[in-house]
Amino acid sequence: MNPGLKIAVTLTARIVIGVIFVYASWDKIIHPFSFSANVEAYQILPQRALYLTAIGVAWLEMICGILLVTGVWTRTAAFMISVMLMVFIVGITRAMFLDLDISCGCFESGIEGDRIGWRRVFEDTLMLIASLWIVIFPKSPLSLWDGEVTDVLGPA
Amino acid sequence: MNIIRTVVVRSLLVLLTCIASGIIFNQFYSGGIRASELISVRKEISYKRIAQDTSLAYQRVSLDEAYTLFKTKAALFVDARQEAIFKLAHIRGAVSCYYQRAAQLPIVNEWPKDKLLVLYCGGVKCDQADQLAETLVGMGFTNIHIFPGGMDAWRPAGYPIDETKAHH
Repeated sequence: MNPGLKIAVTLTARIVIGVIFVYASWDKIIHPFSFSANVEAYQILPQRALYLTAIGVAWLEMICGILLVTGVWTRTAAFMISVMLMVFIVGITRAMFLDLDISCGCFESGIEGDRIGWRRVFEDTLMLIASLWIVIFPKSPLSLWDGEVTDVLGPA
Repeated sequence: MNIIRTVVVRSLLVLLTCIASGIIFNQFYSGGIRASELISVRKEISYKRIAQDTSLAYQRVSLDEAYTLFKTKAALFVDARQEAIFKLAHIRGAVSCYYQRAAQLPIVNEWPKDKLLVLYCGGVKCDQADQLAETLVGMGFTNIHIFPGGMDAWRPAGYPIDETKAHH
């Protein structure tokens, strides 16, 4: 693949996913109780784990998003975002098979938010593919710190 | 191998940083979850917490509390499910107010804004009552309660319902 194109894809994916994650995290950070209700609605975690998970996920989204946009620890940030997206995809799919009519908790906290559905799974899958791309090819310009530029498949 | 180790170590660092930042932020943020509450969560507590969230203007009631409000006729029960489902069975005396049509229903505009309303739907798996609550709060209602147990809790308890029997 053309190296220039590869870098352009990485840069685009970095900025787009980073901005989406920072945006998505904001409402969760300022409404932690509402977001914990979203987490609770998925009926996966025990009660005692809800608050810590809600806080952890919200801040992970924010900080990983910032790392991606600024190009610091790019591969690490993309890896963590990939893991989060896999968890989201499994969680949403599971909820749909359990016939839970709940809010996604994707972009806004609280039970009034967007519903879960296959569209969410599709969006998350697209973002997962893009973030895995960044994990494999993290090199791109406009990075504040390029300590992770060596490709998995060999030096860039 | 080096790359994998680096990524794993950094991921753990990021994770710890996020949890630490989150806990510190929440300790001082006015709408935050205090560190002392983090893992001391009992069943239903989080629902009460939602009631304290300043962005939500309603509270939740248990089956017992809902029945007390029913018995004393202190509250109007509002069914947030679709009208067809409401007609099959609903809490006795409840009115139908499908959450997506709430704003257009004339009856809603006749209620005093401080009327005590108990909203419910099928049970804990549905959140139509929560959706309806959002709408009604937006319309200016100030005394809204949600009965999360809904029909799933009401029926087995043997409390009065109005039901349409199938005709043959």
